[in-house]
Formats: sequence, structure tokens, C-alpha cells
Amino acid sequence: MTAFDWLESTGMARTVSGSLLLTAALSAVHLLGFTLVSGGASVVHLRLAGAMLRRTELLDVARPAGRVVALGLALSVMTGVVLFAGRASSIAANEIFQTKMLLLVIAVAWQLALHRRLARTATLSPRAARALGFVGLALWLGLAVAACAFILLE
Amino acid sequence: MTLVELFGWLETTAVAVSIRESSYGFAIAVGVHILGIAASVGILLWVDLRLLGVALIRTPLDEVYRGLAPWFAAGFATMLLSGAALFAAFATAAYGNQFFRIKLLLLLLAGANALVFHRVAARSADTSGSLGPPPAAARLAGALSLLIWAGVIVMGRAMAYTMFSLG
Repeated sequence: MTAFDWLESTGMARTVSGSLLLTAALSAVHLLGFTLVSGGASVVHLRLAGAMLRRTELLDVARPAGRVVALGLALSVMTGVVLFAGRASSIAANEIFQTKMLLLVIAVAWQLALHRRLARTATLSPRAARALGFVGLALWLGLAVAACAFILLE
Repeated sequence: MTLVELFGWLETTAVAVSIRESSYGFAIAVGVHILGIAASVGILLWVDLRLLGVALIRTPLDEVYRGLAPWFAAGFATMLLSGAALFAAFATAAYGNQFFRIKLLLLLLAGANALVFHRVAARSADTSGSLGPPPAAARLAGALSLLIWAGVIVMGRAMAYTMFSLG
């Protein structure tokens, strides 16, 4: 028995996969979390790219954005784990899901590194800021696209 | 033409047929719809947080609104167009779905809130200056907007889980 089979056999997993209401509720919170993550990540990276709020201090955008991303991730990851448990072995084998998880890990590592760097010193050359903004936007957009593709094509 | 006839006609349009019958049509329409939500609600959220006085408080409300508006407007356009295409594809089933009706009501409320309160709040917040806690009307508008949009998203999911079980 693999770890995924075991996960599927737990009481929590069977309760979720047996209840449409519970699955829909978890999925709704998952999407709310996704919206928060997208909102936080897009605003801080668009600010870095120089596409919005140019007269607002970078840290005034980055600090609350970091909190919104963290709150959204907490909601999405918690509900995601429970939703995953219900169909663990088939989902784990899905290539789009694997891509989504890989991009999630990279995007979260990116965000942590960005906030660490900004906490040390928030002064960046305009070129560096723009580059960080574009790379971050591309990463999070890639994750969002993989997430949408996964729900629909699995 | 009755509503039922109108919905039946909508379902025969080219967009509707390609969403229902091509292999990726539905996936692409829903994917674009969700990305539209992320861009619109995800970015409008910052206007609401500013109205609530919990983020960007050192930037005047007006500047926050004007800076973000092109982005969330593009998100709303994306969400509305993909939503309209999805509605056309499943018009009859959507019309009969209770969660769809609640979602439409919430969308109307969100629009009314945006028109009335954001405008009133923007004016009163500006005259009171950009520092310090925002006036009560501004905080109410921000909180209402956040709650209504969360409701729209939840109703959208509820719809997806209940609409297709019959057909």
C-alpha cells in the first residue's frame, strides 16, 4: 500500500470524497485563497515592474501584499490537502498536478526570497525592480494557469 | 420571444456550441473565467483594503483607485465576457440554478455598492485627508465589497457543483 492509498483510506478523505457539499465548500475556500494569493502577488510584482502605484513606497505595497499572499496560501493549502486526500493516488499521478506543485514550490520560494531581500533593504535599481517584477509575474501566472488547467483537464 | 426561447437560441450560437462540444472549449472558458476573477477581485481587493484603512494608507485613496482601475477593469472585462460565453452554453440550466440567481443578485449588489459607496466614500475620504482612520462610510464600502465578492466566488463554485448533475 502506498502513502497515497493510505491517505485515501483515512476517515477524513472518505468523508470528503463521499460528500458533494463538503467538496464544493472546500473548493470554494480553495478558490477564495487562490484569489487572495493572486491579488497579493500581482500587486507587489506590478509595483516592482513599475506598472502601478509608482509613487507609493515599495514596502508600503510589499508588506501587506506578503500578508495577503500568506493568508491566501494558508487557506488554499489547507483546503487543497483535504481535497487531494480524497483522490490522492489518481491526482498524484496527474502530470498537470505535478507541474502545478512544482510551480507552487518555486513561486513560494521566490516570494520568501523577495520579502527577505526587501526586509534587508528596500532600495532596488529601477532595472532590477522591473526584472524582479516580470519574473515574479510570470511565475505566479504560470502557477495560476497550471491550477486552472488541472481542475479542468484531469 | 420568451426567456426560455431566448436561452434555447443562445445555446445554439457558435460560441455556445464550441464551449459544449469541442474538447477544450469548456476548459478554456472556465480557465479564463477564473483568471479573470483573480485579476479583478484580486486587485480590487486592494481598493477595499485601502477603504478599510488596513493597507496603502499613506497613498491617497484616489491615487490607489486610479492606479489599480485599469488592471481590475481588464479583469472584470475578462470575467464578464467568459462568463457570458459560459452562460450562453448552458443558459437553460444556469437560469434554473438557485446559486446562479444568488450570484446574479450579488453581482448587482456589488455594482450598486461600487457606484454608490465607492463614489461617496472616495469623496469623503479625500476631504478628510489620506492619513488616519478612514471615515465610517469608506470602511463600510470596503467591507461590503469584500463580503459581496467572496459571496460571488462561493456561489460560482456552488453553481458548478450543482448545475451539471441533472444534465
